[in-house]
Amino acid sequence: MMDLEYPPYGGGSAQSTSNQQDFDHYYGGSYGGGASISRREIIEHFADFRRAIHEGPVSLVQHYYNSNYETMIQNYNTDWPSAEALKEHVGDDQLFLTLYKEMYFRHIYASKPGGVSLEERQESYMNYIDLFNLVLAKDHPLKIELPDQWLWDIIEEFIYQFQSFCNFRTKLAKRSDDDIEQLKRNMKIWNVHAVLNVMHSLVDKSRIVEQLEAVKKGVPFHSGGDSFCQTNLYKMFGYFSLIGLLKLHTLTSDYYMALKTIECIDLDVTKQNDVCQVFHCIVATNYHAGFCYTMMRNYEDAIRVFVDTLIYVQRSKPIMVAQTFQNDAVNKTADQMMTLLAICLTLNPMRIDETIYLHLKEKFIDKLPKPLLSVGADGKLPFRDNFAYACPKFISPAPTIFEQRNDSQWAEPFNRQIEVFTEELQEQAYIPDVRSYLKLYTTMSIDKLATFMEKTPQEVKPLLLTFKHKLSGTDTANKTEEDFQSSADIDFYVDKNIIYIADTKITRRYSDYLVKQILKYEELTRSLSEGLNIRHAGNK
Amino acid sequence: MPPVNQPRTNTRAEEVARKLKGIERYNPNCRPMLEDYVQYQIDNNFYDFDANMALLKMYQFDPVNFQGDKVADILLLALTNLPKSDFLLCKYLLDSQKCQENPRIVEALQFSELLESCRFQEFWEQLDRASVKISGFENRIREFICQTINRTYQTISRQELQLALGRLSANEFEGLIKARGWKVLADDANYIWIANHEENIKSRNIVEKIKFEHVAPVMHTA
Repeated sequence: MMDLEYPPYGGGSAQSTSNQQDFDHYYGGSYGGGASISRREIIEHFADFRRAIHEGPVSLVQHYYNSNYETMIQNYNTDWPSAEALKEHVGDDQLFLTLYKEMYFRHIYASKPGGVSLEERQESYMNYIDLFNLVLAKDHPLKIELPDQWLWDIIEEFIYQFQSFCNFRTKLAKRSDDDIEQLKRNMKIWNVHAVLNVMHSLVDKSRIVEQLEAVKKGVPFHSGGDSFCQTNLYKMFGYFSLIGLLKLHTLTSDYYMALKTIECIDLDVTKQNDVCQVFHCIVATNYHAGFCYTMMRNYEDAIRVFVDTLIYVQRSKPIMVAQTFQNDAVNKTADQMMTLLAICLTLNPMRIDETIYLHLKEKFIDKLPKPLLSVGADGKLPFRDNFAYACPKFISPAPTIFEQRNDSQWAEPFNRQIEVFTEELQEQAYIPDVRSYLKLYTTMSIDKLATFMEKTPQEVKPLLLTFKHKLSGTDTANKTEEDFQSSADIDFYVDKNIIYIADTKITRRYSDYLVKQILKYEELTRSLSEGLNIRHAGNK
Repeated sequence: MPPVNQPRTNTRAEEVARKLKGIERYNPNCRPMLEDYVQYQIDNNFYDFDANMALLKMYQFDPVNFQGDKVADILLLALTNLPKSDFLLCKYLLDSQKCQENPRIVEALQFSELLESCRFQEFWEQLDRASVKISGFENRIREFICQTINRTYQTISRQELQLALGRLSANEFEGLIKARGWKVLADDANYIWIANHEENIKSRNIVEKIKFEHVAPVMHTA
């Protein structure tokens, strides 16, 4: 049981905030815009919701949770009733009110992305602390059951709001003096240590790492009488917190720690699906893991993860329709992964799944500048835009220097990441050229290569060594037949002054295509004959 | 090839690892211990990437505590773990301005650039001008260079190999060749045999194998 460090939330007393004005006008009844749902209906809806949470079953809760968003999103500019208004009708149910407030603030962040006020951010933070205290600081697990989707959304939103706060406190050009004073006085709110503390507490409480490692090894997990780790609520909170940490470490550019945190998770989508059925969570996990691999120069693993996930997204399109408000997020993440995949394949060409490759060629590869680091007419690097689209929105965990009243502290994390990544690419700048010349021959003297590249032989030799250094992921001796099939398309060695080149030619696979067409044709024939039969029957 | 990352049977390493479990990793009180530990690694030809990253993370969280010299030490230690991308991972956590202000960090960055683009001769020249006091540094860099040469060359000229391996006496040079199982060519003492790549690196033609299970769905009696 961890005592989360925060100034005690003054219970109900801190309520006379600007929200009071907002909901006063609800007593008038009608809402602006959208289909009119009366205030009474909303309150009743939440009262029912609350009952479902306490009595179950969890599928009913899921239903309420999903319909919540559908109705509310249609009335996008509707303000939700404040917790106070609800309290009158549902009683002093601390747990429900905290959960409700979490959704309330989520709606606020969604409906005014740029304009969430400092007070709202602080209140939301306090509410999270309340919520996590309710979950963690008990001797027995909470008795309610919440759908996994909701648990994931809570953790996701928590990290998102932290990220949003970091942006808020570093974009100082437009901050009012009042806000800056407030920020200075409340350094503990949305402090990175507090956020880490929450995540780690949830992970520890659920002993999720132990559980996952047991699954990996195929041995049963012995909880030893610990009721917390057996409860689904805690187990999934723990799992989602691991992903939350993955995201947090990626945002603060600690790719080593990010990957280390999810060591216990097998990134294969089918294996992930066994533990976690939340579609968006799997996509987010693999996006961040793949991004970390890309930054670490581990292109092969990045490519495998991206392709795996993109196939999974394509296959899951029918299911996606059911989960409404997540769809945009998933589609955007899929696009980002495509862009990153395009970058990785440019740096480390290898054979991948046909369908993904075709889609990639159509839409993404042409968007990348060739070569990657070419400078545009205006002296800028077009590659920056591609990278900026595909990368997570980095933040700096360091305290803000309020005296610098400009946006430089906000821009710095991204600039640093792209700077280092670009330096890495510059070290690899000549590799594509070397590759294209080597592909033309089976043997070539170093002098000849030097002539092609307009360099001296002495300059060319390091390029060959760099090629091997950067792109041999694993030790050549360990590579098996299988590995050669799927990885780099070209290999070579140098004997005295001659380069001996080996390339891998793969004949076109047509069996898949033929089988698909045959099945389609059979389907067509079948439906035609059925149609004709019905017509006959009808004509009789 | 002997692994560069020694197994953690070292009790000091175990102690540090214990202190860095879970949320304690971010506890600012750990900082002096981690800074001392960097010196320990330097003096004892040891390397602990995880602990060093924890220290860099602390500098990221609290830039007022940034110690340029410690960062330079960590970067040099990371170089000894090439070809792994430890150095790159460290770079992402560092503030560019602070790096430019410390000459030892700038030097480490230059070393990295030379080693990553395999300009070994220039690296040794630059190392001569600097003073790196890390025990075992040269040997571990040489290990990396030998690995890379092993991957690339089947036969290499003696002169090139000597330049790539830096300042070695004739005895040391011969010793290294023997230790790695390399041989001087019988018919031409100017060349040294590195590895048999002819066996492994050959053109291959991958032909599709159509498995029965694949076409079974379409093979059924009408």
